[in-house]
Amino acid sequence: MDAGAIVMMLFVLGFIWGGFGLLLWRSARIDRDRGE
Amino acid sequence: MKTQEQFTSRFGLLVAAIGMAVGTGNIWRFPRVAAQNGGGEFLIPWLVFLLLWSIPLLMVETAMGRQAQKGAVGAFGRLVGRNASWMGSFVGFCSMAIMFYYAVIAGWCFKYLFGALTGKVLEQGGREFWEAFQASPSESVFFHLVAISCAGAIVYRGVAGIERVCKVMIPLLFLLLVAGAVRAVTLPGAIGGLNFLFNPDLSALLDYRIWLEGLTQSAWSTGAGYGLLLTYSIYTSHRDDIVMNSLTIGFGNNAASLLAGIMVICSVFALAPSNPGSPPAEELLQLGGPGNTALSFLWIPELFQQMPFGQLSLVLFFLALVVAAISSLVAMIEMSSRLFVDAGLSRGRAVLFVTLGGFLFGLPASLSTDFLVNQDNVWGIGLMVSGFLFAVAVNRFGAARFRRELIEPARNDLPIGRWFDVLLRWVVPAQFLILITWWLYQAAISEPDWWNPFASFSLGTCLLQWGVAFFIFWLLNDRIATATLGAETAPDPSRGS
Repeated sequence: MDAGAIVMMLFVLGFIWGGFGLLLWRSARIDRDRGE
Repeated sequence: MKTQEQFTSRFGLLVAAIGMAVGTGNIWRFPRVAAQNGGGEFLIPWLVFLLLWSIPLLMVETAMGRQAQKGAVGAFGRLVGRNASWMGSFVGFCSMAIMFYYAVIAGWCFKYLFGALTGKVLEQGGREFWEAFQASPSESVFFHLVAISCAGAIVYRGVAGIERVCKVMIPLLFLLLVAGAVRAVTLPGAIGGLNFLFNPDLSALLDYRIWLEGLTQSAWSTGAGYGLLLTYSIYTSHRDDIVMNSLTIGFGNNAASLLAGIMVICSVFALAPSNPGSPPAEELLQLGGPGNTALSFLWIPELFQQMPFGQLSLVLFFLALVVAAISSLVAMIEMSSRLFVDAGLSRGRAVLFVTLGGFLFGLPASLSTDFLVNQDNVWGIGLMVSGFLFAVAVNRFGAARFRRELIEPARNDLPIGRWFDVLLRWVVPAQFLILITWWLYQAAISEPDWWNPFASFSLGTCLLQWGVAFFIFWLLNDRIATATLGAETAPDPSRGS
């Protein structure tokens, strides 16, 4: 696999999936702290 | 959905909203649009527009729906005055026009679910199954009817049903997408697919079409500019978060698209060479016509054939896809019905009217793939116009005032700052104006058929169909405003905030 493709893949997957995971985790934590 | 009903929790709202966003836009549309636009280079505008177009517009829709407690027409009227009702009408009609052919695609998902259950899809292979299906117009119409009837029945029953089903099926769809993507990348030859999807040719970014398709795909798939989230927001509490929920919907939607893209494109690279007479994978992906329209439906069965418990996995996959497609269709029917409820029709009649209309107006798309592709082009890009109308409405109200009065009073878990004002005041309108001007210029100098209203992808067909819609709604503005808003004359920004 090309080096450029590896960098782009890591960036895109990390940004989108990392962002999505972080947002879900933070939402769950906030809701738990509020007792919802 | 009765007015007193609300989503029971943030998770309930999020899965329903992600269910609204995740659907065939991710699994049917994203892989084929990304493939046709070069793969890697397409991801750049697609990511840019998620942040600069779709997420801000999702926030605007949520805030407008809550403030107005009405559908798109009433929301525009209440925000900027009854003279703006035609804008809401265009937004609503654009989503309805998408609903007409979306129901056909949801019907395809049903057909494949039944085919997976009986084992016919795996027995015949994706291509043969698709060709047999397309050769039978009555089947296409029948499954279109099945899809729109199911969605209509769910809308009739209310929000609780949507929330319950989505809570199970949306996480299941994500799990199956992960399993499918993992299997696809481990097939011999799949690396070619990853190279195609993640290796951008930066010179291709000078082509307007990639940017136009990137914005359209982002809006089509996240639901930005449809008025769907605006409608769902009527059923949320005024205190519910706006900023983080909009970000989660946008990122969740793109996460599903990426998995579907990896799954389908890697499958094509791994499995196409073993099909006798098949062109090379890259060529196959960039072909137009029905082969591209049905890309996911042709290749997903081939992929699942390579997996352990192939038939069971395929059944579960199409079951989850049916739910995802139906949850998006439900949102579109809900949005359309709400417009008629606001205009004085009873809820039951409005849902029946929209469901029946969806079936009748979806018939041409169920009988002709060319017509479907034309409608996807016209109203998919039409979402860009809808998004621009949302920005115009926010600016007429005042972007900073909109943020202060409609977004900040919610219990937001992430802060919203002046960046929102800059995005809505300058960035969103600039994106629209630059893209539309670039498109007009390029079409005029390089596409001899650009004016032809009967060509599937021409500028002329878009301008004609949008123009007719604009003209009718502009002409009927007062009547629509009176039906929806009654005697209300001034914007009422204090409602709900």
